[in-house]
Amino acid sequence: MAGKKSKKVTRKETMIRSIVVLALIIILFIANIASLFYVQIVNGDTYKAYAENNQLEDNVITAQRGVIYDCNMNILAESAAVWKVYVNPSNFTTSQSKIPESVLKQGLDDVSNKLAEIFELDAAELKEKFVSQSSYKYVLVKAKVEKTQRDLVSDFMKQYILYKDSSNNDRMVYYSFFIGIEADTKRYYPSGNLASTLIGFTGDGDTGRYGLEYEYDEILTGTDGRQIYSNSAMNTNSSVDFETVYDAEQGSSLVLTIDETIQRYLEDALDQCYKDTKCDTCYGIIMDVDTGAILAMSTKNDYDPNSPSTIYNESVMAQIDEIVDEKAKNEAISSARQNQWSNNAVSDVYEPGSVFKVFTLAAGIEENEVMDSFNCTSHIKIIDTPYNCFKNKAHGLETPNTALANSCNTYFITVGQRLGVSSFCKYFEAFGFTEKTGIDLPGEGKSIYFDPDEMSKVNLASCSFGQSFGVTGIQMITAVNAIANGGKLMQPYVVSKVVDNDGNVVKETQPYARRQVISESTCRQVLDAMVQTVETGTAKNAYVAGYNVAGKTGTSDNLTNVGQVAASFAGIAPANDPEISIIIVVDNPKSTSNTGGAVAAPVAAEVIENTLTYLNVKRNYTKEEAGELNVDVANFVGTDIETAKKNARDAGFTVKVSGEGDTVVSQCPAYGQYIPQDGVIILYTEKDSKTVKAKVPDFTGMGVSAVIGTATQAGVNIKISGNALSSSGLVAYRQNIEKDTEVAYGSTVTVYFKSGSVIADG
Amino acid sequence: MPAVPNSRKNVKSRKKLSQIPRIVPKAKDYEDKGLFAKGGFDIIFLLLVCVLLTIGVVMMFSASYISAKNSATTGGDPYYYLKRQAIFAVIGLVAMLLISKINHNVFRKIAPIFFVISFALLVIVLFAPAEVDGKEQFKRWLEIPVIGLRFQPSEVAKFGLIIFLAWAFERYQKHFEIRKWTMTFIFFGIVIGFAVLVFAEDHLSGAILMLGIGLLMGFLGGVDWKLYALGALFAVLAVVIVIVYVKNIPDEEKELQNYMIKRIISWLDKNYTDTDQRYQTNQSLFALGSGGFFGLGLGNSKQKFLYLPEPQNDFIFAIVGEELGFLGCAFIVVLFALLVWRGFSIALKARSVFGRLITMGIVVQVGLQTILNILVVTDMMPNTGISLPFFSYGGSSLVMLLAEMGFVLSVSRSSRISKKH
Amino acid sequence: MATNNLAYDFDLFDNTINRKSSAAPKVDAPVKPHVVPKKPRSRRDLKEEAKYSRRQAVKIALVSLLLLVFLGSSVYCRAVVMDLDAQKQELETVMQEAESENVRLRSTVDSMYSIVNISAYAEKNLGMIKKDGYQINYYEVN
Repeated sequence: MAGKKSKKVTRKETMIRSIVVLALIIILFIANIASLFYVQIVNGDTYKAYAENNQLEDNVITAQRGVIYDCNMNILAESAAVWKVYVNPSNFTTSQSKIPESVLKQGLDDVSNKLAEIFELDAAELKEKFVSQSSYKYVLVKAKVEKTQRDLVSDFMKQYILYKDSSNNDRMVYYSFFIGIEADTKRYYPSGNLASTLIGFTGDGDTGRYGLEYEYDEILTGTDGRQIYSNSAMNTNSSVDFETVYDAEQGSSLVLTIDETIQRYLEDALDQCYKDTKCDTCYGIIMDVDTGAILAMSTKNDYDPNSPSTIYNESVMAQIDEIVDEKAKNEAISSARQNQWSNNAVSDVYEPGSVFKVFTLAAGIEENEVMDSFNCTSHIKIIDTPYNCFKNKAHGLETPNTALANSCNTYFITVGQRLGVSSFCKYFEAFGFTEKTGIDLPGEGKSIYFDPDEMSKVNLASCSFGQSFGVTGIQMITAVNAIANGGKLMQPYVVSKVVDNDGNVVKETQPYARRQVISESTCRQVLDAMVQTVETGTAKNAYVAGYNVAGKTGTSDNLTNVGQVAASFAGIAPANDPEISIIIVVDNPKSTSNTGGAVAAPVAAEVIENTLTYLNVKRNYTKEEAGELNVDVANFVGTDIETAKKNARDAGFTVKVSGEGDTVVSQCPAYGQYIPQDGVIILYTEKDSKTVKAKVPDFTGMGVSAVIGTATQAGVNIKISGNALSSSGLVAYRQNIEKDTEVAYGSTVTVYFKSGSVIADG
Repeated sequence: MPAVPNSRKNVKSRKKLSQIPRIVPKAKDYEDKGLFAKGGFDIIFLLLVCVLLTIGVVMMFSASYISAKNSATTGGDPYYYLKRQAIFAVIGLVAMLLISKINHNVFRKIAPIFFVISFALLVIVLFAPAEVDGKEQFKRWLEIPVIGLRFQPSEVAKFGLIIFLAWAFERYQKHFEIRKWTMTFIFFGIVIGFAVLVFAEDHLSGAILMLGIGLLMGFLGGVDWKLYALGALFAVLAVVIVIVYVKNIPDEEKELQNYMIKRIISWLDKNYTDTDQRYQTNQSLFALGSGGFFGLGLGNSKQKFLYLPEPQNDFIFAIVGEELGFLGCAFIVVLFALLVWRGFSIALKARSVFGRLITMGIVVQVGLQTILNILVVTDMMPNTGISLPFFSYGGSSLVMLLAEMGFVLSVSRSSRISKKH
Repeated sequence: MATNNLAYDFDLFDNTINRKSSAAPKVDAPVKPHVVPKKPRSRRDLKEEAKYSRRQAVKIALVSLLLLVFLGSSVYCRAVVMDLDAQKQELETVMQEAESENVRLRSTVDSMYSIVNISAYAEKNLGMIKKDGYQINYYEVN
């Protein structure tokens, strides 16, 4: 046997075989490292790109749009996160998944029904939409969905349909397979249509489309941030490795010069006017005399910016509904929208008419070209063109003040001719009628006027009483304001401050006087003339007891539509120490008397009274006025009923008692309230007794005494407002509580009066 | 030992197998005797095992954290896998130390029993597989009644095959010399039989592994090397044929193939936007690629955020690659290589053929499993489902693995390898 | 074993070299089934070796434990940070939603409590009227 040798060889072979296997394994390990090198280093970047493509989500951090505040920091516009709900209709088709058709069909039905239920839509229509757009992956169901509805949708998305697959296993498909939710933003306007034409509104993606929202869009929007981060595959919350974050720069907020309350007064008055006169549009501006800040600005017809596309004018909507032709209908809708969105106070150019006489007077006084005494014969001829006063009325001997109060055309034509073209134009330009005011609002209209070089004497004649040219409302109030504040032409503005997200003031608007137009003494004289116009002249309806209102009315022809007029009023109050200036323009009113004095002046009076009261401006009553004043109500609560009745009667009240008790438990009006003399009062003697109601009568068309009598009978108190209380022929034209409204017995109704006689203000 | 040319001449006449004497090593000295192993175990090997286990458990935790948190089976407990893996690691370590204390000559006695048990389990699992996640898709799991512990019989069988072959090559040395081809035939029969049984579980990777371990054991045990050369040739040919065949399957028929062919199709496809068959492999590549050279740092993987499905299982190495980078990966591969080398060193100085073969078999198994796993993870091989030793989650297989390490340590106690440093 | 070479015991690969006398390599060890037929180690040696490896094993165990705690806690910290981040994000979402809801509600309330509605209510239901300027007495305080 070769035992020894064999063993030796065997040992050697064992060794070799072991080494071969070890070497094989080591080589394979090296192959491992090589393959890792290939995957991680050679192809690493390619794979990394794939990975990042999967993982990284580039999220836009939406900068929150800034808030719009009124001057008292009341919120006028504010944005909040809402959601969009969409459906992926392609997932209802069998091409996208292995889900059986019957299940998909059920899904389609369920989704359509549920979404229709949540959003109050038509389920069949919705279903039809999904079916017809089944090739799409995104069909928007509803935008600007609020949390409550979103929660309903997301709850629904967590539910599922159970079914058996081909191998009879239980499977489920969640409704989230079909439905998606994404972020959206919504702008809230808590005050609805308040100052809507001024503020404007936002469109898709919260970008400003109109008004301040548009003008200050960049400031309000801020800068969107970006967040690039890796997300988990299932979009669970466990992701979070933020790669890069570019912070969003939140939008800045605007603080307006607008005062919500004053704005509301103006809008209420304009709303009433819009309804009463059936005018095309009416608008008004209230300006702070010293700074040129706009306290209120409104145009009617307007809209609710929470839903800007709805047409709010019912009669317009009715007309549109009648249009059959689709294209014409759409055009009508879009023009109606444009109409309600536009801020006519800034964009409209109108012929100022007699209001402009104020500036002719101012220029005349400044240039010393006014006649202290002038005999108006109602007729005047410039070259070949004859002019006459309104209704051919001869005013006789006039001073500058009476000429303005009478709105005498011949007087101001004469003043114009005396000034001459160049001097007239100098003041025309100085008052800012040839340039934009520079107010921080979009769409400011451009005035229409004669080139001084081409202006004839005839042109001058018509211009001197405010005809044959056009200006904007904002130009007019800026010019009127110059008279109120001693001749300084201010630049009007609506944004007083820009405030950043942390409340720091970024920018503050400083009042800016563009120039001194006329001297203070001239202003004083013009103001006196305007006061006289209100007290005894054509603007009587702008009279507010206790507040020394200065003003001038105007009635002018529409620049484009013959036969239509624009009635306007420009005023300043109180004249002794001006606080506010105001302009009201009513375009194409359709009431019986369409003059500025009849249509625009009462609106101004109401607004001035409310505003100045609100601003705590002290009233200075004349003696006659004081006599008509109201008395305050004593406290009867706790006193014996008989005594109370006697005392109340002694105070001049008409007394009504409710209940069988012996002592008064409550009363209406309450203690300390002011009601007119001869008012009514109700005394309750039982606790928890039902409030006695009174029905508000219709006061319109009544005289003052008739109103008081009717009110007492009906069981309401009245507060008299508007025009000079002392003047005769007053007629109630408006009441703050509508007729037939049920109010508590003893409530107070404010009744507005105006002069019933025809006002001639040419 | 067979396959030695001049030994052939000596065995001319055919003897019956039963007539050939079996080699039963007798205890020669104090060291061979008794139930307990004497001497110290190999420290380097223990160190390697401990380091790999530590890194493995940490990486398993890092990889499983997110998926555990978002999984229904774990009840949303992020530490679910960590806790179980840690418990099994402790059990495994205890088992390892206990086994390392047992004289490896004792194992020789239980080897045939182990073989029979392994075989029986492989058969049983085909008829009574345990349901995993309510599915009976793969017949890979068995559940021990009463305690409810689940394990894969193929894990047991791998070791069963190793210990049996080690035992048989030692015991039937003479048989291999005298009746070479008969014995070779029997050997191949057993290995292929095991592989087929595992394959019947729908466990291709397990079958491949079984085959690989068996064949390498045979090579180490002395089966004719020419057969291996031939086998290797056939294997290469088979791979080529399969690839060519798969490449030529028309597109419209691709959907109809069974899952193995589909996996091969998708492997050849290299479509990085596929979300079906290749999804896991693609995500694995993306993870590895994201790691680059230095990695994203421990715990910083992004692919584990539910992109890579079941990151704690077969594809854990992708997360390792993403977090530790090429550097970390290479380090871990080197650790595995060192483990294999140390195992071979121990084996070559073992006091018995049985000890040598069992040690080599075990480290070959660990090495092969690691190699195949990394090849799958790096998309060099179709996705077959091989777990990574020490890293992948799996209680019973971890215990089994550590027990095997115990066998190696037990052999190392009597091995003449230098243990003092 | 004579060599203390850490990297590899090269002797293993060369059995032709006889350690004792390289000049006389022809002497073979007797045929035995054992691969490494060396003379048996003494009990004392074995005991010492076992003791030594036990000590080393304890060291390894400690180092591994330390490594485990260190690495494990760093992963744990990451996990906790991620968890907190996720919670933060979740809360931020909730906060954002609450803020939006707040805006919406405030907007509703604001429009309900607008000055018009209040004054209308006061006038209609409570019988109040607004004060007039003349009803206020102004006193100069100096």
